[in-house]
Amino acid sequence: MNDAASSAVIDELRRRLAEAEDTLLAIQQGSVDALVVENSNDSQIFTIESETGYRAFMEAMQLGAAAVDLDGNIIYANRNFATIFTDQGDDLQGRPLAHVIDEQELFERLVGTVGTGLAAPEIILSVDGAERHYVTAVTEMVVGTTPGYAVTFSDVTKERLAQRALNARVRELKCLYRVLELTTNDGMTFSQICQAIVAVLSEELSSNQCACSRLVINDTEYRSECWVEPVSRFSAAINNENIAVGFVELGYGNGELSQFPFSEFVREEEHLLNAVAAHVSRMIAVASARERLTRSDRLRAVGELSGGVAHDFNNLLTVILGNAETLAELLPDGVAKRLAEMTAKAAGKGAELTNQLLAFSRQQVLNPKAVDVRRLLLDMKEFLQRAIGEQIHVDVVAEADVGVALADQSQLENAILNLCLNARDAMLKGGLITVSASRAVLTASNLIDHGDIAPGTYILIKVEDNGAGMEQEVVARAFEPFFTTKSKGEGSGLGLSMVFGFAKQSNGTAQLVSEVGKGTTASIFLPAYADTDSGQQSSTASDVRAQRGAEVILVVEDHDLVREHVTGLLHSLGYATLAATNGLEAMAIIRANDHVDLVFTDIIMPGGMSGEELAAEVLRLRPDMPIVLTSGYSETLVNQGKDGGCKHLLLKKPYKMRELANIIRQGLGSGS
Amino acid sequence: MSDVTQKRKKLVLYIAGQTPRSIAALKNLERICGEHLPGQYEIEVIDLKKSPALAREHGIVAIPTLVRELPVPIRKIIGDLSDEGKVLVSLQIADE
Repeated sequence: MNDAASSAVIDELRRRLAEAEDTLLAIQQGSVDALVVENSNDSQIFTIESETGYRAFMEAMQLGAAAVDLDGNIIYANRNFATIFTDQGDDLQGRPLAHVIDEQELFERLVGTVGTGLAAPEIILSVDGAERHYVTAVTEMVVGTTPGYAVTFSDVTKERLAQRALNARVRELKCLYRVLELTTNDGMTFSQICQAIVAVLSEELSSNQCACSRLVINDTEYRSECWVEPVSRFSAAINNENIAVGFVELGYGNGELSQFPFSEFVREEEHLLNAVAAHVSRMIAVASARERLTRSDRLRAVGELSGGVAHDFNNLLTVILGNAETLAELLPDGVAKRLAEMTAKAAGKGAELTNQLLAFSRQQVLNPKAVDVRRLLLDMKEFLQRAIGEQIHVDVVAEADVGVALADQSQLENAILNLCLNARDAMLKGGLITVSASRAVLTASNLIDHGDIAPGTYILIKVEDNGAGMEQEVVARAFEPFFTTKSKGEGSGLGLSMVFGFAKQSNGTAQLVSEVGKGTTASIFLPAYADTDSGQQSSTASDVRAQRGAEVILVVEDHDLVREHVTGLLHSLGYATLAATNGLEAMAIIRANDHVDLVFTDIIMPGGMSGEELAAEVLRLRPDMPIVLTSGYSETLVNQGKDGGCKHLLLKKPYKMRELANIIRQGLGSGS
Repeated sequence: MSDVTQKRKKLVLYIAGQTPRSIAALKNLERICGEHLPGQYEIEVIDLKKSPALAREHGIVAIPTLVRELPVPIRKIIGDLSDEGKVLVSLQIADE
C-alpha cells in the first residue's frame, strides 16, 4: 500500500470515527429519536425519542409506575416503583411482578380489572411492619411491539392514616357525646344508663363486629349483647370520691378481624374508654351529691317547719303550764288540785317534746362550755349501765388525751344516753355497747364523708353495738324527726333527730353506720376546745325552791294571754308589776316612773322596737337597770347568746314558775 | 453529465415514522437547502419504519440521519439538523 492509499484509508477511518462520535453525541443530546438494531438477518427500528421524554417524566413523578408484559414480567419500572418494593430501589427489569409484590393473586386482581370498567383495587402492603396504602391503576399498552400493561401505584398511606385518625376522632367524639347524653339523662335509671353505655361502646367502634364491652359497678355487671370472653381487653376504673367502685372494659372477641388490621388497642380507644369512665364517675358523684343534698334539704325543711310549730306551742304551753301551776298552788287539796297538777305535768311533757323538736331544728338554747369528754363518759358509765339494764354490758373506752370538747354538757349527756337506749333496743337478746371517745382530725380530703362540716380537730364520740343493725334505707332516714321503726307508742322518733340537731348546732355533726346482722355505730363529732386549761364544769342545777321578792317589774309583752299570765305569776311571787305591749309604751313608763327595778321583755315585738333595742334604750336612761329577755322562738335567744356578747339574762319559753322566779331574782341580785 | 447535474446535491433523509426528531430534521433540511442551495438539491426521504432493511444497506444506526450521496464522498449527519452551521459544513456548502 502506497502512502497515498494508506492516507486515504486513515482519512476514511477518521471520518467513520468522527461519524460514530457524532452519532453518540447526537444520542446524548437527544437529537435522535430512533435507533436501528441489527439482528443477524433483520434490522429493527426502535423509536426512543418518545420513550426518553416519557422516561424523564416517569422518573420525576411521585407514582410508582411499571410496564409489564402479559405474563407479568417487568419490562420497565421507575425508581419510585422500585423503592416501593425493594429497600435500595433495585433494578426490577425482567423480574416477575408477582415475585416483587410477593403475591400472585394480587397481580391477578390488578390485571383482572382491565377492560371491566372497574377501578383497580386499593392495596395495603406491609413494609417493615408498617402498613402502606396504594391506589393502583392498570391499563393495557404495547411496549415496543410487546403487548402488556402499564401499572401505577399511588402512595396514599398518609391520607389513609390521616383519614383513619380523623375517623377515630369522630367516632370517639360521637361515642363520648352519646355517653354524655346518657349520663345526663334524668329519665333513665342508673342501670338503664349503664346498659345503654355498653351498647353504645360496642356500636361505635369501627371493629364492632368483634368488639364487646362491659361495665361493672359495685359488683353489678352490665354486658353488651355481643359479649364473649375477649381475646384482648382494656379497662378503665370508675371512681367515686377517689375510691374505685367499678370499671368499664372494652374487649375484642374471637370474631373476624379482617375489617380491622389491628388486634391491639389503639391509643384513641384507650383515651375513649378513660373518658367514658370519667363520665360515669362524674355521674355517680353528681347522683350521690344530689342524694346527700336532698337528704340534708329535707332535714333542714323539716327542722324549720317543726321549729316554727314548736315556737307557737311554746307560747301556748307557757300559759297552760303557768296557769296550771298557779291553780295547783292556789287550790286546796282535792280533785281540782290534782287535775291542775296533771295539767301542769302534761304541759311539762309537751314542753319537753317541743324542746326536742327545737333541738333537732338546731334552735335549742345551748350553753356550750368546755367539756372533758373522758371525765364525762367515765362519770356516765354507771348511770348508763343502770339505764340500759343487766342484759347488756356497757363498756367505756376513752383515751387519756382525748381532750376537751366545746358543747352543752347536759345536751351531750342526753345525746349519749339516747344513742345508748337506741343501741339497747337493737339488742333484744343482750350484747355489748361500747362508748368511746377519740380525737379526729378532719382535712379537706377526708371531709367528704362527713357532710357540711368545717375542717379541723374534733372529739369523736362513738356508741357501738353488736345488735341487729339497720337496712340502708332506714339509715338514710334515721335522723328525720318522727321517723321510727318502733311500734306506735314506743318511741317518738325524735331521739336521733335531737342528737343530729344538737351535733349540728354545736358546729359538729352526727353519723350512722350500720350493717344488718352486725350492728350499728353512731358517731358524734364535736369541735375540740383549744384551750384545755380553762375547761370548767357546767354549773349545777339552780336552787330548787322558787325565790320571791317585792320589787317592781316592768313586763313588756305583746301577746295578751302571755302578758297576763306572766304578771299573774310575778304577783304570786310577791312582785309588783307594770305592763306594756311594746317598746315605746315601755320607754314612756320608764321615763315617767322611777320605781322600776327590772325590765322583763319579749324579744320579738311589733311596733318597730325589738326587746334588744328596748334594752339598749333603757340602759341609756338607766345604766344599772337589770333586764331579762325572753322568747319562745329560741333562735333569737341563740343569736343573743352567741359570742357571749349579751349582757342580759335570757329566759326561754315556756318556763316554769321556778325558772321565772330564779331568773328575776338573779337579775335583781345582779342589779343591786 | 452536465455541470448542473454534477453540482446538484443528492440528499437522503432517513426517518422512523412521524417521530418529533424526524419531523424536525425534515423541516430544518428544507429550510437550509431553500436558503443556501436554491435549485441545487434533491431530497429523498426514506422511512425506515416502512422499510427497515434499507438501514443496513446504508449503515444507518440512529434516526434521523441525513446522507449526502452526491457529490461523493458520502457524508452523514446524525440528528435533527438544528445546528445550521454544522449542517452547512457537512454539506460543504460553505467552502463552495
